[in-house]
Amino acid sequence: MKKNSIKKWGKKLLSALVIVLGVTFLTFLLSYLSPDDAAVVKLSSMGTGYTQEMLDKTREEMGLDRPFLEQYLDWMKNVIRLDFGKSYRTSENITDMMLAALPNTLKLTFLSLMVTLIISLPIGILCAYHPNGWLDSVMRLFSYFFSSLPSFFISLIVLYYACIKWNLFKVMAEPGIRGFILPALVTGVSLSSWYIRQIRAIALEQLSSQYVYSLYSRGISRQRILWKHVLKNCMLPVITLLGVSIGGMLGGSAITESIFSVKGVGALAVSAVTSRDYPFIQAYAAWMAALYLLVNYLVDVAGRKLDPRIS
Amino acid sequence: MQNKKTKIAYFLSLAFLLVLLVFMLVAGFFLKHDPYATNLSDAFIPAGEEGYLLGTDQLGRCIACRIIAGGQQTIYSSMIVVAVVLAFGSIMGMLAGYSGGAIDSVITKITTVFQAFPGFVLAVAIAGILGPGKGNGMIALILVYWTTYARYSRSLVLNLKNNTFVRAARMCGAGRVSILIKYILPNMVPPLLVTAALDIGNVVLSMAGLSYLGLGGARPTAEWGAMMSESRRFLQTNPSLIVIPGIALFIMVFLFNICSDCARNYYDKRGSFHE
Repeated sequence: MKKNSIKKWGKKLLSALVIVLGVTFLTFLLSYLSPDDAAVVKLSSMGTGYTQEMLDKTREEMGLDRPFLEQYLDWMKNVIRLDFGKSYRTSENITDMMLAALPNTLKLTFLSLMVTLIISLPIGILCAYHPNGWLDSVMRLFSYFFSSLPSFFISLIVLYYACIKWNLFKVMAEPGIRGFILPALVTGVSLSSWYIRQIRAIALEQLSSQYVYSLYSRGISRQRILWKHVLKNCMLPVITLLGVSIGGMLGGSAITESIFSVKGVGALAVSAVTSRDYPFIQAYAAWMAALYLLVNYLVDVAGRKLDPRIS
Repeated sequence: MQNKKTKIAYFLSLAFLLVLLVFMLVAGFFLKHDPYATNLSDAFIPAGEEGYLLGTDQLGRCIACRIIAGGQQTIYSSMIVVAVVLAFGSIMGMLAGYSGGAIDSVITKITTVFQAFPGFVLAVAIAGILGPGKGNGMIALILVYWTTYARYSRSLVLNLKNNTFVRAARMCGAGRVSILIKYILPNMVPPLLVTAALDIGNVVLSMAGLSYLGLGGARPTAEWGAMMSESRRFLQTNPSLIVIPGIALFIMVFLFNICSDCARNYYDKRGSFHE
């Protein structure tokens, strides 16, 4: 038994490695295929014009005329040592920039997920308990509403009202937790609309299963069944949902962070994109993918721990 | 009774959507002002005055005309993206599901690699590296969205492959390709189309997000996301510059979402196999 599971873990690890390799390959391929390569960006950022000769010479210096595989292996050699090169925009070490900004993004993601769970778990379960009741219909409308709004629109409107009109928060995010409240609320609430529908479906399934019926027939109160037993059994699918939405949040954080001035990875990515900072964009894609894979792996593990029936 | 309500909801929402689309496409030929003509002396006119239906923006361009022009572009590019993604993704999925073996393995690995990236991250990375421009934005979104259809069509093919009527066809000597085209394909089309319809709304939102960041349709095109990011500076003084494109986006995506949801409910009842 033990040997079998080690073999299975090994296989999983191997396929994860292959995927990570594929991910890095893809990100490197992206910048290799881009019309304006590193030499062009470097020369044009110096302000003065340049000739084709200068371009060719710079390309040679930067090693951009070598075959693709050679450049890729070279980049990978550095990546393995966690050296992603220097940003074109600020000339800082990219790894340092990432490590400094990542905690903020993670904090924001975590807070948003907390908000989402606190809002959507009770409401979702209640909607399932009274299907097609007034709460359910109102929530369905909300869900349609929020899923049609672009995230940056909500953020801008909230920014306008909360900071400018009502002066509740400052426009520039304050350090510490206070600066995270608004973006976490915005992200959390708009994600809740989707979560409520999902949790409703999950809870509905739970409510129609045998154990609920048998608990009720044994005299356990409705309230207790709902909030003690059903809630617990919903957690497993909910954790899978969390894994899926973390990916969306890691990506969508870019816009929210830049609007609310949170110094996270997303905001850095936005500046990198506007200044054609290729090494950073590459590193951003690679990091986010690696993070997402890690999160999904953790969700898998958690799922297996919570429900031993999954193999 | 349930069926009647679904029917009404479907046709009503479809009617609203078609009205919006036709309006956008036709009104584009009757624009009063050039959406790109700047006229600084006419900047910041409030809505309704001086013949500008929704006012002008910071460069004096008519907002209503820009909304309509942007709407046309948004509709065209989103439909193209969804069409390409549907075709390409489904073909890949069919190849993988029907052939099985090594081809399946390779295609699945490729889709997993693409799906390892959070969607928007990949779109931003691709569009960021390719540079701004509508075409690059579309390429980025195509590369992000195709995996959904590849996965979905693969699972549909796998489900249908073992159906009785397919096995009967094999027994009668039908070739593999003709089975694929005559039996499996027609049963895959409805669910794929419904997913595609639902995705149009998402694609529109993603395009807006990209153009907000300066990728995809960047300024001075009349893309709604770009209009919103250009007007960010004027959040305090002229919030309507941001609100109007936002509402336009909302209405379009809302109608698409409701319509495709109703369509899904409607076609679900009548889902039938072609034999």
